[in-house]
Amino acid sequence: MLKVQVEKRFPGFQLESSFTVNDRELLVILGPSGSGKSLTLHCIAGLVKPDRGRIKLNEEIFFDHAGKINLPTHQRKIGYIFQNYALFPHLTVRENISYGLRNKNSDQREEIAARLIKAMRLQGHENKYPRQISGGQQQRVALARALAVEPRILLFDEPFSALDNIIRHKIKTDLIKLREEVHIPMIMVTHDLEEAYTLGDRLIVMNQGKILQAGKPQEIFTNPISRQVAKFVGMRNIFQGEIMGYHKEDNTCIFEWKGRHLMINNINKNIGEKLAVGIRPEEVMLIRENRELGRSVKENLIQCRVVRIIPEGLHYRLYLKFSQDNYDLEMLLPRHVFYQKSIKEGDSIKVSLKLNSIKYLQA
Amino acid sequence: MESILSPIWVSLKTATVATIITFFLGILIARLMVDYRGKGKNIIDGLLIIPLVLPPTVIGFGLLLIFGRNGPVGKILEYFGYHIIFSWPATVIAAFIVSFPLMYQTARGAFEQIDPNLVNAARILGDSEWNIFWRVIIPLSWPSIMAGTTLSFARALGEFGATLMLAGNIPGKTQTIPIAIYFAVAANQMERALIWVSLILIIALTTIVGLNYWRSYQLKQP
Repeated sequence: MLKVQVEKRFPGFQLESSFTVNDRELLVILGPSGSGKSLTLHCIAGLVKPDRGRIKLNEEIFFDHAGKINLPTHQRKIGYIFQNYALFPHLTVRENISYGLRNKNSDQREEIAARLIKAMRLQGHENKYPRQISGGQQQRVALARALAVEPRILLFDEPFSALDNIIRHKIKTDLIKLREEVHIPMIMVTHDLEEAYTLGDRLIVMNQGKILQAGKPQEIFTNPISRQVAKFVGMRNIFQGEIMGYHKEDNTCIFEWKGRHLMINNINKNIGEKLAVGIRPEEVMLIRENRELGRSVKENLIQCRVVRIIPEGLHYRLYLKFSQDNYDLEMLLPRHVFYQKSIKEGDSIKVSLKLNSIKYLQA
Repeated sequence: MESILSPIWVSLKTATVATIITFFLGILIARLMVDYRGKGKNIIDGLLIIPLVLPPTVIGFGLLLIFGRNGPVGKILEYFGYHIIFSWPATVIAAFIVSFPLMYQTARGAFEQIDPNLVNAARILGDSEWNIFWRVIIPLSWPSIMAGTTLSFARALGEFGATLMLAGNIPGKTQTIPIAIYFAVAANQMERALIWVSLILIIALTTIVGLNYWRSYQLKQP
């Protein structure tokens, strides 16, 4: 188990982060560039010395400001996969993988290297140089090299950013298999929402050096606690408005937004209070004109015009407008639905903002 | 009649020893400077490479001040019974001073171009700083270091002004090829001068052309 509590100050930036990672757990740190997520990894690796705090892995203290302990990087026995892999260009694949095995005899070195080359599907490439193999293969070499020294924790710095989608999928499968075989804590830093959602056991959202929210990915994605977190996890519809009234019978409130009255779940706020709510673009439902609707879907119907359509591969992002603003709503439609309805820019459509999809954003 | 070969022998001895010293000191100091984060970094760097832009007679003057009878180093050496001025070691000192900046700059440039993540990766894999230097930094800088060494040797071979001031023109001891050429021309012994001039030209051309071939070979690597 890894316990981290660090503070580090730079001119114009301050990192303050505190969390734990259990064995066999993959923690994903999500945040934009400059949020301090890579810096956090560097502190754990010992590449950067925090100003204050404590970093402890199992029983070993990596860093303790009060106790004046700062274990040098080369004694920490960790694994780190860099964004650009940092493979040694002057060494072959096999030599890269064996780099950290100087303290073993040559039989052990060969055995470990052979095992990892097989596990990472690199047979036939052992004597090639990094520039002679593909990006996905380089990734696997980086991983094998890190695993060769039997690290007690694995750190990944944006591991997928340089890979195309097909390779990404393969590497993710590798990662999932790895988690089952290797019983150590793992931390992955990324700015990619999809990776954060699918790979993490737990998620931390960071910005400007601070942790904004921590918890299970599904939890944070559906219930972000603030506008900032909502933006980072893809809840792109954020409505500023005011509480207008209550419906005691079904425990809902009336939320006034851009002249519309939306029904939202009761959040125990006073009438007149101004606050923000959000709804994920995928949860904005398209309503067929003549379909008979169940009660729960009748709520929050809005007629709007499609002002922009952006194809995004597996789905389409629609920008919808009903007020004087450039646009008011973002909606994400799966591709097959989009084709079925043959929606064009300028069309008028009806959408529903489901009651339980609208989330109160506390900050 | 002094042997034609004597200046050649003196020059080769001098340039070789000077280059060996330059090689090790240049790499060592470049390494230290890359990591140095202190206040006077730019000033120190300036002092280290200033022989590149100073006239050789200025360098000679400076060296005389330091190594002469009344200079700080000269006095210490006097105490032990050594006279540096007009001795062979003086040729080595002069050659070293002018060739050091070339090696230092080349090595430092090469070190600074290495991706810091490579060094970080090596640290994380368990290597001490010293091991990283030998296993990562030197191999990756080797082409530049080789080029720097070759240039340093050529420069050491061609040193004239500072050598003359510090070591003098003592045939068989401190008369290097460039000095021999100068005095041969002054004494109107043009054929003698021509022999040494041709030799220097051949060495210089071979060096430069060799370096160029090396570079295009490097670029052709897959």
